[in-house]
Amino acid sequence: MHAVVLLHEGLDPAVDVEPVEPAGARHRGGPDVVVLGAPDRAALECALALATRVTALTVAPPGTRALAHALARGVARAIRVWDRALDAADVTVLARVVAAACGALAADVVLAGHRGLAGGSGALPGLVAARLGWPCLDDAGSLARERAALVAGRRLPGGHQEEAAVDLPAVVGVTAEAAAPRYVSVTALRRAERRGHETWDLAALGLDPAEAGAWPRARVERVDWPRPRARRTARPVSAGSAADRMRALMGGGRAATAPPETGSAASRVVDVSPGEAAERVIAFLRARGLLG
Amino acid sequence: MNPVTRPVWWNVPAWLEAALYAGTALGLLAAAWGLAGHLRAWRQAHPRPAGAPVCGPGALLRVAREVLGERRLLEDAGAGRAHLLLVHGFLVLFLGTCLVFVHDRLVPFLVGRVYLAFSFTLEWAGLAFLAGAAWLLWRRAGARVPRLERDPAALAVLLLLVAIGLTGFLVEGTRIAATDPPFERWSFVGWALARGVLAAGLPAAPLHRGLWGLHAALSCLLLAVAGWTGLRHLALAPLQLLLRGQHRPGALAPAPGGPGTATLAQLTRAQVLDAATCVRCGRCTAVCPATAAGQPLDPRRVVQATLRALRERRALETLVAPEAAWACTTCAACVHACPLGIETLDKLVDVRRVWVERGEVGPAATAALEALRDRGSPFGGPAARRLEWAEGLDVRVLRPGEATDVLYWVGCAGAFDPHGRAITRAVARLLRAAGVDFAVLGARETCTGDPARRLGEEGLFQEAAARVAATLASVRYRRLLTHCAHCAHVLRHEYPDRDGRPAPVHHAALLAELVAAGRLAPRRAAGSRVTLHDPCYLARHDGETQPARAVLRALPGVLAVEMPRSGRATGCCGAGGGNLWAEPREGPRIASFRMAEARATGAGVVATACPFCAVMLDGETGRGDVAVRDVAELLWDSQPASGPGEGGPDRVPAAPSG
Repeated sequence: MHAVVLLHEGLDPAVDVEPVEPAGARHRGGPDVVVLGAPDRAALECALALATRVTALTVAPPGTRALAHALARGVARAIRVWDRALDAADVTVLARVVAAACGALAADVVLAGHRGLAGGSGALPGLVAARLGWPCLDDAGSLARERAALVAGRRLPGGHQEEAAVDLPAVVGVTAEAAAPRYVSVTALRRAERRGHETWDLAALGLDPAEAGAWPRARVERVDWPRPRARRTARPVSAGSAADRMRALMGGGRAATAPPETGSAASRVVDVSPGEAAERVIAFLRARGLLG
Repeated sequence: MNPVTRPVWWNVPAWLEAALYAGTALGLLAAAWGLAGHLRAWRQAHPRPAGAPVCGPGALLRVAREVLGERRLLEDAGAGRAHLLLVHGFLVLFLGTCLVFVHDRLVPFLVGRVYLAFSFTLEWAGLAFLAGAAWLLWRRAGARVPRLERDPAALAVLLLLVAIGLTGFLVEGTRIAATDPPFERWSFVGWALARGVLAAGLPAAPLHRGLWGLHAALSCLLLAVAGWTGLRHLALAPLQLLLRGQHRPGALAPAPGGPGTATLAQLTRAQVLDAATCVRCGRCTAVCPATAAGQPLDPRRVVQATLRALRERRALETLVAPEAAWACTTCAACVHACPLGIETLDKLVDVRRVWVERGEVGPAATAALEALRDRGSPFGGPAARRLEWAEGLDVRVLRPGEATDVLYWVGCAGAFDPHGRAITRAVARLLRAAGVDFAVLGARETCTGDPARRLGEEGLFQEAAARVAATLASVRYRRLLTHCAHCAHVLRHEYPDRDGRPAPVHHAALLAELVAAGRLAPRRAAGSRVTLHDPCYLARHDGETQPARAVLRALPGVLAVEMPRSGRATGCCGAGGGNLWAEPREGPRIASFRMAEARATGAGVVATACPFCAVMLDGETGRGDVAVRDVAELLWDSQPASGPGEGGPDRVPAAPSG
């Protein structure tokens, strides 16, 4: 099975996005705040786990590190598609390009991270599937292979869950829960960077760049940057473990707001027997009307 | 009348004498064969530290002091004294045997009073040898000291030593009984045994010949097994001490052959020697905080696994469980407890390096490493927020090319953690109060790479170190100050080329200096009963135990009390080795043991001098009966000008974004 996994570097959600100057750089902090998103990494892990051959594909200008990450993780090929006509491309334009590339690569399955390569739109897998004439399975929180089909677990609104299957070839969109991302060492990253990736332009995909510039697309007219918000530095959380504190801090360096030290909302660690613990949990849930 | 001397080969036929020489030669050959395998592995392994002088008069003197003085062994009084008796008894007996050879074959000088003094001395040496061997045997077989394994080979060797000691005295006793010279009263043990042999009416001469043969055979056997058992430390320990003396325990270096432990070229000579020299005494395991917390790490087994890996030509990571490798806090308690300075943590970090290259890293460590790689801080904070701690303090930020007297390296914990920020503010206020010209690097500061190296991400450490070195090279300063023990350690010992720039000074040392100079004058009481938790990386790794105590002594109304484990023998808080992020979630926390120790002193304040320790110990203050404060916070609290609450963990309004 040959899988093509779509990758995209986006803004690091842990770092505030702030304009440096009105018409200049998009955010302060430079390229360090661009990372491969968790759903894309999950898609990559799923592809590596399920397929015998994996190709990483991105539509991005030069400078992306997503393909080096994929190569370091073990994909066979890494391809960057770019053309000046793709600047400010919307999801429909991206879908055309990705569909053409996947056709050229003779993929059996296309995997994409949820809201990955289309700048936040979740429509890309469906649009690519429609262009290829394949079925689409989106929002997969888990993914397994059963002979010539893929079976996905999906969480639905309201706490429902469902299992869905799709015959190959297909396009599958996965969420971050689909697979735990594996660490890629800097040594492996640098080795992959030296190895380099393939670069395709639109002509290589059989598309006319002049024509592509005229493809209808939605335009971003204006960006309103988030307002600065007041933040508080908290006192150390005395009842929490260091691991909990570090997890709170890892969200971009914002100091965690301390939970109230007293009162019903206080975080507490109790050391009691399993039976007593169960009783306490039941009492806690009853007190909040969550248990009859 | 018999001359006052000993007939050396009395009652020993020529064939037995020849057998002794042959046995000795065979024993030496067997021992050499046993040692040869280790020496071959040692030669094939990577020589590190490259270019460092192997030895000089100072190093030899230090090794002689270690071997003869047995300072580290005596830290466990029972084992130390027993070993001291055994070793010194053996050395005197060995020297005596050499002198007897000289007397017999070269210059017959053991006559008259010289002989009497010689005999008297050797009696005491024999007693010491026998008592030491018997004591060690009792500890292992009878007293069942918990840290000692029921190791059949070790028991057999100790039995052999006891048997050699006993047969030595019996040979002497039967010889004296058979010849009965009155001057042999000076050989008081042999004399007493001779009286017993005579009283029992035993045939002294035949008995002497049999015992002589037995004693000789046992001695040859001891020689033969010396290269194959823990006894090889007799030959290897001095070499081990000599080579380890060049190396600072806990200071890590890149793996010589890249990540991996599958080939000898990927191990250092020091690691090969560690494995060959270990006698499995278990002191390392007895002091390991991870072992005490029930985590699956046993430092002794790690060293033994290295030996097995060498013998079986297997990669170390196939013999050490990942959970064991990740549990190490790199506190180096094991290294300091080991009388031979055998390191465990470098082997565990080597194993970690393999797992990192394979991507087999836990989610918490992954998040920390990726944050360091992408944002320059394992705490996850972006550069733009590094100066939030300084809000309202008007701290000078040094730009490239500028100069300052003291460059304050804040560190990631000091920039992002709430308690770390409070410590940073206290240090900055104290520096200002003392009139110190200081500045910080602000957003240009990045992680030193310490967590990356200790988590086994060597490539990331190299990049982080290069970045920090370039930043430091871009400014001028007279002193580099840091309040993070981990930053101080890695900047001092693991940045190979400081290009003449000064090593960092830890804030406790600078604050003690400012107090001593009268530039900081503590006036207000800053607590009553305070106990100091020495950070491992400051006290044990770098030997700095006094500056923080000097600061505490200067605080009015403070009664400093010591925990049982203090100074270089401090107890670990559990944060080192990347465990601040990747602390095992199962089982009791290492910090809870340390905090229990602190509570037992009755102190209301646990003082520390490292933000990592502060984070770990903060998590154990749930009962509210004890507070964790950095020495800088306590000193700031005691300053006359400071208002209430200013010195403690405080609320710091964030810098306006954008």
